[in-house]
Amino acid sequence: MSAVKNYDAIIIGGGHNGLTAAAYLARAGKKVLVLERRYVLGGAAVTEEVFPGFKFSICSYVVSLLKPNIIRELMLPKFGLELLPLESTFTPLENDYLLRTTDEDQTYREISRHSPRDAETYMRFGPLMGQIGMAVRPILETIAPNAIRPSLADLGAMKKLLNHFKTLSDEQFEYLTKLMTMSSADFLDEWFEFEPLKATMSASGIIGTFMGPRSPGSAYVMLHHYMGDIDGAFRAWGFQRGGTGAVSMAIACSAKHFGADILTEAPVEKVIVKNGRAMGVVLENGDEYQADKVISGLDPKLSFLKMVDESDLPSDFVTDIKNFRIRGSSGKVNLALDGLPNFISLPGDGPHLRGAISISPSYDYLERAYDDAKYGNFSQEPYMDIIFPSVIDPGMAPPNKHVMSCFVQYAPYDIKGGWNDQKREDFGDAVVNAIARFAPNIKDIILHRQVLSPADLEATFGLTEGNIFHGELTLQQLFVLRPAAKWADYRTPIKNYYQCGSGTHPGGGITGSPGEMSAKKILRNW
Amino acid sequence: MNQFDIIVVGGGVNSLVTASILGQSEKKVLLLEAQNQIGGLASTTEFAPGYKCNLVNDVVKWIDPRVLKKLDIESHGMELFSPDVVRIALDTDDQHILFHRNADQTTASISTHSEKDAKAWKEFTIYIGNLTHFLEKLYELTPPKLPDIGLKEALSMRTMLTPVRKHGIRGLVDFLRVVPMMMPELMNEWFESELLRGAISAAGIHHITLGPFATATGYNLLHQHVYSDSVFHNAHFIKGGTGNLAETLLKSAKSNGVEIRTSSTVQSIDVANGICNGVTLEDGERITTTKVISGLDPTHTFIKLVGPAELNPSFFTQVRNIKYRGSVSRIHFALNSLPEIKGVSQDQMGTVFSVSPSIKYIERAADAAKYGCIADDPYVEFTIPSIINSNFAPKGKHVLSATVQYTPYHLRNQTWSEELKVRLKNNVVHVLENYIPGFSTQIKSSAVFSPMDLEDKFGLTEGNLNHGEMTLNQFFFMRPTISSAQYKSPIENLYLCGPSTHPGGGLHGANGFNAAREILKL
Repeated sequence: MSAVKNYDAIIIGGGHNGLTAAAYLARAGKKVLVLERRYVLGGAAVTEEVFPGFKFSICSYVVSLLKPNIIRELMLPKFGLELLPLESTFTPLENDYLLRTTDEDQTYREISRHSPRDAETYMRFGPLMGQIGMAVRPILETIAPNAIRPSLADLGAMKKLLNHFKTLSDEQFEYLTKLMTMSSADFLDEWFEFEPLKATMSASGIIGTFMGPRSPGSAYVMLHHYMGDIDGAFRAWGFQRGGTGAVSMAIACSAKHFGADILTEAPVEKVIVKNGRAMGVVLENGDEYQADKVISGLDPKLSFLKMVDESDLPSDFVTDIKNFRIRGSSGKVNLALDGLPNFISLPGDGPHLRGAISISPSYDYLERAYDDAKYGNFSQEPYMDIIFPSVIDPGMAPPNKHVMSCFVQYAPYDIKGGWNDQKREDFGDAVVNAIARFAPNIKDIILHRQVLSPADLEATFGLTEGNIFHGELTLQQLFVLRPAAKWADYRTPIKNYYQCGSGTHPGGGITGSPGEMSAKKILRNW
Repeated sequence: MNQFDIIVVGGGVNSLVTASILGQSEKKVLLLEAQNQIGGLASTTEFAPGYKCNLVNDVVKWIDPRVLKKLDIESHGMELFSPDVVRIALDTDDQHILFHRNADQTTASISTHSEKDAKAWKEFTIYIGNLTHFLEKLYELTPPKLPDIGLKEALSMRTMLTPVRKHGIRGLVDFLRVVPMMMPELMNEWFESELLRGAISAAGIHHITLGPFATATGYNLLHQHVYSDSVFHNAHFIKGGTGNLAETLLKSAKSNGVEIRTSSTVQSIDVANGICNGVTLEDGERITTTKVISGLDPTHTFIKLVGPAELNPSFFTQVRNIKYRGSVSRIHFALNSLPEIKGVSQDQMGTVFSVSPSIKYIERAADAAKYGCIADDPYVEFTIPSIINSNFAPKGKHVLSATVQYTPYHLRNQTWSEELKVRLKNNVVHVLENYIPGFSTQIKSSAVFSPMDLEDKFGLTEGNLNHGEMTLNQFFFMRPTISSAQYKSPIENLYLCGPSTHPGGGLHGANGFNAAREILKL
């Protein structure tokens, strides 16, 4: 055994939440060490040069939900945070297209080209969703109380939330209830009529979720993606200059600025637990680090079923974690291009290439994609959310070349016959073919292709089953039940062992929120 | 002077319960039923010469004990037949799973498929039974008006503490966890046998349009097991046919002084200045009253009978947005002889059979409905009611009644027609042939009720048997809409008592009981 080093807190995993927790703890004067398994920081929010000259946000690719107070408190702009707005959402159709941009008037004209009624409704819908998002924010910003044995502070927080709910109007409350329980398709059907518009909007309800737009529960995921839409304007999604890895790097720099130590290529083997108390960690190479607190940024399955022994945990908790639903449903295809695709319905360059491109022509298209996955296959014609980072940020690719990032659903983790090289390539082919339906020249301009199946996401990023949210955002896995009742407040049944990943409240996305709230909770009782 | 204090529109189970309880309290009550017999979804009728059937429901899952007690149902002559085998999940290899009233016997039946599952069975039934205690208490409540809940309403919900005390907060957490679950998820926590997983999941999709992969089918599963005393798939037949439940309630109502008129179709519910003051019948007769209580669904009640002009716009939108989407059809077969089901002895035939070989089988059937088609291989649940009631068919002959999912009301690129009903019937016969060889040769005649027919016959909007889907967005304080969940409508003196209200569908009478209680409070 090599030398033992002492820290106040050790954080397992250098993802953006782990780094955020580290930065907050260091900012409070604690001696902090972050241990990252890979050679590069960021976890799923990472930029890598996969092919020479071509840089990719290989996993998580857009930013919207990063909390403003985190940006401010950790001084992230000073350390390189620079968000470039995504200007549009473009939905190519058979012989037409739907385009929504940051310019409200243009969006109004574009939608009314298909349905004047929808154009009117759309202008009311955004602000309403903004209001509902605001109504939910206090929940997201509350440390989830211990539902089994609430503390006084928990009761106080609950009372505050209840009082907050009483201030909602009947209408807001009704829509909030509906968003918590309905399918995104049903919810949108109450508002809109133009199918491609509804399908594209509903798609944010299926991202990272093993459900179709007609599955109840998908409306909540849609709301989750609207949280960034605080001003009631267009969904304010942005792209980080240099890729999402640069967000992680900004947080890492902030953490270092406050004095945190960060080690890469330092995979943790186990948390050292003695008498029900976490004492430190041991690395795969045998190095040991001691600390007062150990905080895991990994998903609940890894945090509790791998990093510690089951025998150190109560059996009902182990059951809860085993039952925690974490089905991977998406893959990622990153393409290096020798030019830009030419869409049949809107040829040439234009603002539609500076935003998100959504392959979601109809509910049925998305549902059929889901059906494939339900029965254990990847979607033959998948849903895709595509961006061209190099159009917004030329530094991502060599001159006149481009990078294309395709988030693809559905690709089930549990696929018939299991994932292998052949399956991965077949999946990649299905993706390219689906794009080629709308932009046939894609096949001629691909220089390199990186296909990441859910199995690859698991192997590379340690995302169990390749689930990008560290566990699905379904009702029974939210708030006081995320990841398990009694342990939703970032504590764990092991003393001095904490959690700070997306598997805790308020869930996935580049929000930094679990990291921030976990650190604040830990500091409160230090 | 009004001749009646209260008019109840509709003669289904809940309407009868409400009318009867109000009659008991010395109110002068008139009940109006459009059909020539009362009963609604609890009707028994002749569908072919000499052959009778229970039109919609062959069994009742539970009856609200408060109703049984308050109306002293048993003294009015209703007899339940509670079979020992409550359900048989058919297996293509004749290794059927028999769900017994006694969990230990079920265990033996499951063990031919999986020892592991057999071991877990009893614990599962107790687990589900415990969770239903939370619903039982919840179902006794009038939903609070949210979001601005007052102290009085909060206090009225304190009975919810009873199950919490009994099962601990852990029990409550499990309840909150299971309600939003989908069937495969719940099954992954318990069982491995495909047949068993499918058979249990059938409870989650009972009478709804969604498949077992839909979130919150857990809620529907629990709903089916309220007051089941941990007997999974609990079912009771009513001797003489389900119509006898209605007949019994009719007797009770009459003994409480309720006046009943059948073949009296209400043409409009009359509202002046936002206040309801009576009804007008199809024949032009106008009956004034102080209060009208509708057992019909909200669309029928408010849009057809009251009329959009009398509704405030936000309530009108709420009603229009209620999700109905019936997808259940009923097919009654008049048979020349007793069908022989492979691997089932004759003394076990008085039960419910289900064709649900796996979760995916049911889900594929639901997929068809999603795209607006009828399922080629539908989920079929059937009974042979003539075994229990010898008067249902001529001697030696039998009736087989099937409930078929998924057959959507909203079809795409086609409409419900006689041809489609024949196709549906053929699909069902084809499925049943797998278990009853030669079934098609036994059929003398048949009657098919599509969701469209159910709409026409019973006034069920979109043919939905629950007067609105049993989903979380239409649950408790959202049922039928957020502004009418207290059995009271936004129109003064107009009330609701049907399955569209809390706690939803089924022949249990809880809605009617709660509605009567609210009205008597005034």
